[in-house]
Amino acid sequence: MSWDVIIVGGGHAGCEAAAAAARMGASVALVTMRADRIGEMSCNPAIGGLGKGHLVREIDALDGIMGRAIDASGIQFRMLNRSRGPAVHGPRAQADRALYRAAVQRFVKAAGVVVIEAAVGDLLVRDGKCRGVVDEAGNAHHAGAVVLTTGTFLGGLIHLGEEITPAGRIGEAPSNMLSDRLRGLDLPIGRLKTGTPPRLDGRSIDWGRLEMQPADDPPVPFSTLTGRITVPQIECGITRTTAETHRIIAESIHLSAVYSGQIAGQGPRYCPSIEDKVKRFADKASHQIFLEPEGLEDDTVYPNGISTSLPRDVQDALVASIPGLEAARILQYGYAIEYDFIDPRALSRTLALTAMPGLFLAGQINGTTGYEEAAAQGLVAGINAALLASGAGNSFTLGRADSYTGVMIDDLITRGAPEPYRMFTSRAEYRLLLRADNADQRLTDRGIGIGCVGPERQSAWQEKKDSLARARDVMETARARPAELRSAGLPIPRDGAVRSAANMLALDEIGFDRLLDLWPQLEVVPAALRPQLEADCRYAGYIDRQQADIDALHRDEAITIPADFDYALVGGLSAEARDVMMRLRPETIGQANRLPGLTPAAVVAVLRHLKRQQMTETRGATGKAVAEPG
Amino acid sequence: MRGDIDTIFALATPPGRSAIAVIRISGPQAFAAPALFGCVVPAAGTFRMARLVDGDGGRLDEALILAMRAPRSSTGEDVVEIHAHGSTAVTAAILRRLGEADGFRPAGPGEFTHRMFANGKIDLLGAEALADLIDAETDRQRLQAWRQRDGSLHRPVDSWRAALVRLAAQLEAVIDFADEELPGDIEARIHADTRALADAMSAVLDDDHEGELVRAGVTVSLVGPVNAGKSTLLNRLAGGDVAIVSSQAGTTRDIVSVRIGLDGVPVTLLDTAGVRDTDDVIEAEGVRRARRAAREADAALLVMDATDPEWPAELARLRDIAGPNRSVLLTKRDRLDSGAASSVAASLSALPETACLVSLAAVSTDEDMEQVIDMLRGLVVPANRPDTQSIITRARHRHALERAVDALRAADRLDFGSAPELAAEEYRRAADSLGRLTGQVDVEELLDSIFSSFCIGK
Repeated sequence: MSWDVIIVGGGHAGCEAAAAAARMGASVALVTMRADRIGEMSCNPAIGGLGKGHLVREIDALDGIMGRAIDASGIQFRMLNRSRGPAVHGPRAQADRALYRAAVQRFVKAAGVVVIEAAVGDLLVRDGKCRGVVDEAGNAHHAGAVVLTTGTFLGGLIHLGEEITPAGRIGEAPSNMLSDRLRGLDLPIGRLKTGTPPRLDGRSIDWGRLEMQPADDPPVPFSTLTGRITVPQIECGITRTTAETHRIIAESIHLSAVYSGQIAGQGPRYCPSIEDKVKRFADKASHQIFLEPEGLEDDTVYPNGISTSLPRDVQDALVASIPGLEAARILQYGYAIEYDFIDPRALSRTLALTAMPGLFLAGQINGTTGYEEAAAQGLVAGINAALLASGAGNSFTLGRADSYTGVMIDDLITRGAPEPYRMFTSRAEYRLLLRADNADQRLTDRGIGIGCVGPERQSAWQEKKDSLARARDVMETARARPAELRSAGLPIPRDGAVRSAANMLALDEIGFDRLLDLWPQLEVVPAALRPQLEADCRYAGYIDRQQADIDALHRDEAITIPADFDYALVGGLSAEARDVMMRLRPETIGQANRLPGLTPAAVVAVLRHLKRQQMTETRGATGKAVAEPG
Repeated sequence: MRGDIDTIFALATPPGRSAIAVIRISGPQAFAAPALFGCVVPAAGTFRMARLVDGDGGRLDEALILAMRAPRSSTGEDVVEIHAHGSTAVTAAILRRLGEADGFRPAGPGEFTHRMFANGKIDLLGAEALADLIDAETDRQRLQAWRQRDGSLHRPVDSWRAALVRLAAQLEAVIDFADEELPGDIEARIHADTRALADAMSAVLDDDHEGELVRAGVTVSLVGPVNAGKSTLLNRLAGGDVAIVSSQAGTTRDIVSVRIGLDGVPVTLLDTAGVRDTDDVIEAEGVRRARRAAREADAALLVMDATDPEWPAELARLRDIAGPNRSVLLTKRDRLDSGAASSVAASLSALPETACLVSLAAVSTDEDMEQVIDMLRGLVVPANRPDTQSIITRARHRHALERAVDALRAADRLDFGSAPELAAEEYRRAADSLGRLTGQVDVEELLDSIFSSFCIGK
């Protein structure tokens, strides 16, 4: 069989890549070991959070599936940082794992993706280009482009106490042949690790003793295509570790795979195992644990906060030492997993492997952690794989000034992944601009332009765009003099100037509702748009200031460094700087600016050399250049 | 194509006749330079006496050759210095021979310093300090340049930056780890530390611009009617009562300037045309220039003839011309009788400006000049802080620090509970401002302007 695009892996990156390529019009095959586990949440049954929620909204803005899938399966929606400014709101929802899986499988199928159940063992390479895959049974599957989304399956090793089991995730075989194949390609490969907590039987938890955390009412959906959340909402329990828990851990810490030296890979600092927390923050008497039900019809509970790789008997004792869990039964023990990843500095901005045209990588294989990070990469890789296969000759890339997805990809290809990469809002320089609430305004038109947005979203977006334009117009034309503002009980400008509704919203503590008495015409603004307009006005001053930075960034990003640029010709470059640049080959001056270990002077030296080269070339082109030696 | 990888050379000493002239050569082929003159290169780090010959084997000079191997050299590249006799013919011949050789070219403005910078030998503040040292005319300027070269500003900026990064990181934790258990007082602590940091930076800013004055010097214009004694005063000052740093005839027909060092501060005195209403076109132009000089100077000394009974009216007119930093000097005391002198002195003591009555006649006492110099000192050296060692030496430093302090105060005014994301922007702005000081962001234009202010060969 021959396809435009083959996706290897059915996780969050793979599904998003497959669906995106299919929306682009490509014929797509998704090759996975088990079709029934497509869309599986291997770890925490939740989507979103700070920074991550932004990514989901961006995926949705490009017509991806994650937002709609969680809206169809979320059982506890919460907006993190709700009391703070809109730029740092973090939409998050816990999922019913079965419902989520079903929703994802539905979307993948609806997109026209063909699922092939097989383990991929090799790549088809012709003329240095990736032209398909070979499964472990020896069948060749040809394609114009291949996206690898192997998650933790490449050379996966599960550690549980002193037991080591080769596995991609619990109960599933790893992809060792493919791992060996990639190692043979002379790519920069490293090891990372991550962990997961034991799963508990909800029926054995003493919920009556626990503090409960309710969902937001009403729940706010992720997708702009979701009108209302109809899945029943549940509460989560909150409990804590005790002194006894910490004693048990301290006593057995040498048995933890992470501490015995059994694991070589680097783990995430922000998602530490309970062993790490107890060891590194010894002064902290207790750690919070959220007890998150994994589904409406499922008694499995995910105890968020006690990821561990301690031996089974220690996990039993550890869990029993926690209030409410004294009699809790463990359904599946926690474990640490170690896996291969490819240093993402080997990728270009399209997530294509520079060394092998036709091969794209997305998700944990690139050193990231998290479903949302994986999905956002999958989307970009899927679009670019489809573009490559179509022979259109163009590509789709995102940057730091337009999206969290762009920030992530730039971070990955520029700085690599010294630890599993997770999105935070603080990674985005232009955080006030890149909000969860305006992802569609930032990206949907670009998605339409490249062809990854389907007709339903196109018309919904057009409607919203018109409505936003009308609202902005009303906000600008609604104006009042100080006397009118005073009689409406609103703050009066000191300068005596006339103020528009937009001006007034920029003031602290003035919400949309307070303006309605004075300007009844604002009633036409749909309720759903009001918070967004408030955010735009509130941040307007700061965003103007950031615009200069963004312009500078765009200028730097516009100066490309040729792939064959000879750094040896650049004088005034320390050997170290030359080494860094030759190894990492930044694509633009902007990217070079962000390379760790490079001084600004080194970047300036390259810039000057480029400019001089350009000048020489321009002179040459106009025939005025004097031939110079060398 | 000629690239940055060329070996550059330049005369490092002033052109013209001198005992010794130094030609400095830096770059990958520097060690090949002595061979161009029929000499061997000395061992790295050593001097060697050598006979230099020209391309035809003719005797060129006898010179000392110094070799420094990268990276242990001033530029961080291979460096060779030829210490030749300071003869125009010798230096011209050496430079010509170097210029003809493949891979060698004359250095552009500031190029040696740029290579120092590129190779991490100095940073932006260090480069500025070096420029200041080379330009230094007074002891205070020299010492100030060395203080900056030794990190007087860099050290505090680094520690402020570190503190800022800590604060910003704590605030980011408040934002990004909303679901985690952070210390309950973390927001109050960030506020308190922010205020402390802003206060520390403000304290440095509160220096009456002394460092900038010492570095750039001060211009004082002498303003007054014709024949009030301005030129006499300038001649007396130039005549040995103070150390003259340099003196030059004004390039404009009406303004003569003298540069003196006053307590280590270089002071340029401008003698302007007498200010009076006139119909003469040329004189009117002179008066217009005098007014402009008075307006643009850092300070003004209003000089008037004490024997002219109309001087109070004249003073009122001159005040309109001069800026607020001014003093009043009445001359020709020797032509007043003692009664008139005390009456003038009494009027002077009632003025808001510092004022005194002196005689500038050749027979006048040193005391008169002492009074005048004290008055100038009052105008140019900020009072009450004779011994401070200000660490800000340029408007650029001040601007960056002020911006950072502004940003910190703005952050502190925000409520971290409801608007931490706005406070975070302010910390970013503060860090960005401090970064500009040491050259960590926005460097290209800065570098261009700094490096082009250097002369070749320094």
